Amino acid sequence: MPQDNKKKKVLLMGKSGSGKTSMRSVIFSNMIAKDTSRLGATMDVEHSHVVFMGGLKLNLWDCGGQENFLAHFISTQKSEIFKNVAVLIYRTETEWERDVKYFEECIEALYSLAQEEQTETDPSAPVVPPKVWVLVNKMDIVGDGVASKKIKVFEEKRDEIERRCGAVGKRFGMDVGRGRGVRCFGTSIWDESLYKAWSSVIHNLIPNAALINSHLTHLRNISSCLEAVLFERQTFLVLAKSGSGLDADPDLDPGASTGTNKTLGNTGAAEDEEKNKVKAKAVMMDVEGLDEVEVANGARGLERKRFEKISEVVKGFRRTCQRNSQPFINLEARFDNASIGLDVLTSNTYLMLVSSEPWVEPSLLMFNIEQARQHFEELTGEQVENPCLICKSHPESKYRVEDSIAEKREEWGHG
Amino acid sequence: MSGYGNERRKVLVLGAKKSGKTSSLKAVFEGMTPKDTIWLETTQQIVKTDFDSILPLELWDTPGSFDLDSITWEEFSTVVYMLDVSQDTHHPISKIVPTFILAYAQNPSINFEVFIHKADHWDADWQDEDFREITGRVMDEIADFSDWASLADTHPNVRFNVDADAWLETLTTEKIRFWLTSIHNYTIYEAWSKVIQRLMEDIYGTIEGLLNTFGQQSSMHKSFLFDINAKLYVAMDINSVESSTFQLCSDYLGRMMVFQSLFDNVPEARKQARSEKAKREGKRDPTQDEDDDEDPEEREWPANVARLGENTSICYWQFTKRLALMSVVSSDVLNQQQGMIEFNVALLRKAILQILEAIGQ
Repeated sequence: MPQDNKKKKVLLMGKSGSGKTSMRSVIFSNMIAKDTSRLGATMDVEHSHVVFMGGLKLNLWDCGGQENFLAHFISTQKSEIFKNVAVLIYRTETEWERDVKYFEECIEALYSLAQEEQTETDPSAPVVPPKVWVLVNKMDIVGDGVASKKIKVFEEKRDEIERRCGAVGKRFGMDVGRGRGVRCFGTSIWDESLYKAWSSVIHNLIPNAALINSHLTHLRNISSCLEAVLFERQTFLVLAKSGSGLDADPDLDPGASTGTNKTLGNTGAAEDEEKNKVKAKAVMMDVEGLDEVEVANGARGLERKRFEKISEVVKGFRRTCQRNSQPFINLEARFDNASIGLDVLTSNTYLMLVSSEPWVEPSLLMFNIEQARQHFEELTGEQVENPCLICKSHPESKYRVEDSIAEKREEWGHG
Repeated sequence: MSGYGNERRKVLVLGAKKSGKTSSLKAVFEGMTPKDTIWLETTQQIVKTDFDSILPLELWDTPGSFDLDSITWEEFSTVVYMLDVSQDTHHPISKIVPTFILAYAQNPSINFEVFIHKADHWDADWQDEDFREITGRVMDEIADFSDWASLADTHPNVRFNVDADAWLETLTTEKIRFWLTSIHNYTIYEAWSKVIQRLMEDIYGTIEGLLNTFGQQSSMHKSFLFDINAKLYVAMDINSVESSTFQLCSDYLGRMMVFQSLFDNVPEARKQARSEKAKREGKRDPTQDEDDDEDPEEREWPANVARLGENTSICYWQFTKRLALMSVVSSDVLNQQQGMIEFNVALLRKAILQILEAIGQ
């Protein structure tokens, strides 16, 4: 894409009242769900910026949902709105009869602009469509509280969205379908499902996610840990973790309290796996995706929604601290079955180390976070002065490491 | 000291219909979230619940209207009366005054705790004044009580004191206490904390003394001995701090319980992984020889610290499956003297365990 690699434009679209601004406030402004009823309607487009790790900057375009705005977005303002989009987040509900036409028009505008841009820069390359995340809202009131009903409603909806996106993509010569440029999440502002969906968005936008993953995995191994997890400092969205992939398949867990229904709709997906790695990775994540260290340390026993819950714990406690005019800095804990170190890593991230080894003291974990700090700061910054072996050999490393400069360091972190 | 040992202290919770008896019990002793309590059904008969705090308790939840004459007052250590200020208070007060007098006549060691409940209905600016108004009204009604004839009529077996004025004065000054409470904030936990502390009688002073010594020796701002299941404190040191300190500790405790629960199934998964690995390698399953029974003496109890800036850290040291020490300390002191503090914590824990043993817990 021709634009700055680190500035990402994120469009928030959907009908009026579908909860775009509520969602933005809950995630990015630390607002609690019940206060969102006080928010007014969004006029035209509201811009806001969120700076993430390593200068990754999200430009959020909150596009007002009233019909007269919508009409402008897809006509007179079309190129302004849909140009250079990294992600389109579309908010809808399970009942979307009046919404569906507009959704298709948005997708069409998005894809046609992407195609134009591509033609301008390099007509020979295939067009990579901007990613589309569809958040099916208000899942908390779907299916009369029956989990299986809820899953069924969600799956029908997801299939339809994927089909429609696929059909529009085809017209522009793009291959769009499940796991290929379009993803669906069932969400509700009342629980952690929204957090999960947004974590997935952010995780996919981080430019060197795999490099960070390798570093976290290494840190985990030398610290005798079960996992090392990187959180964004303000939102506490999970950015990356050690070992197996973070991006669990949303299909398996359609939002609010449906329980873990892993087999449903998953058997037929087997043939898709070959075609796309994203999907394959997501399915593996379930149990087989765990790496050896994770399995040996008991990762199978971990709560699936732990990151969402940890985020709630930390953000909730931080709110209580703020009410008492206190900042929250860090936390070290020895629990019955695990030791935790959670500390500031870089200017906009927190790192959590979890060990299930009974002999690992939390203070040791805090020390290791301290030791890892400098390298992570460099890694997510502009320039790496002291590249480690992982940095040198990793394909995603954006740093030209010349042998003369590079120190022969076998290990980093522990020194 | 009288009545220690394993004997359960009986606490009778009274109050008008819909005054929040069941809700407050469920919220404090069963961890129900306040907003879920609106779904509770009306209590139809007396419900007794055992709760093991620092002392074993038997909590009696009662329906709004039932025959108080069926109560044997000698059984009870404490009566908690829920006075709902979102409803009319005149009728409940005039009804409860003779009950208090009757109960006190039959059981001079009984305590009365009046929860002036749903205080969040009041305007925050006038809360103190409203509180004074209600407590004054109850006190006056007791002091001015004169209807001895009808009381003696309905309860011929009960002997009332001859010097009624002095006797009633003792009742109002020494026996009845008032608490401003709401289920939607920490006040209900604080009130229940005080109820339990009063039941501890002499050991409260002993534990408070230990906490004071610990606080002085280790430079703590404030220390609480928490009942971790009910999130209330059974003792605290005498250092005065703003009430928000208790809130902060209580909030932290609740969140750490959630955090800890995320790892509940990890040991089982580790065990399973080891036995699978042995199977793959054709070795004997090592987990079969392991003894699951941990020696409680050997067990390492959870402990954690949250740093909130230079001046404040919240520390948590669990002592038993029910009790934990929570202290607020300057972060600098904690960083510089952690070893000494941990040593003092170990001594404090030992002393408290000895007290618990002595009272048969």
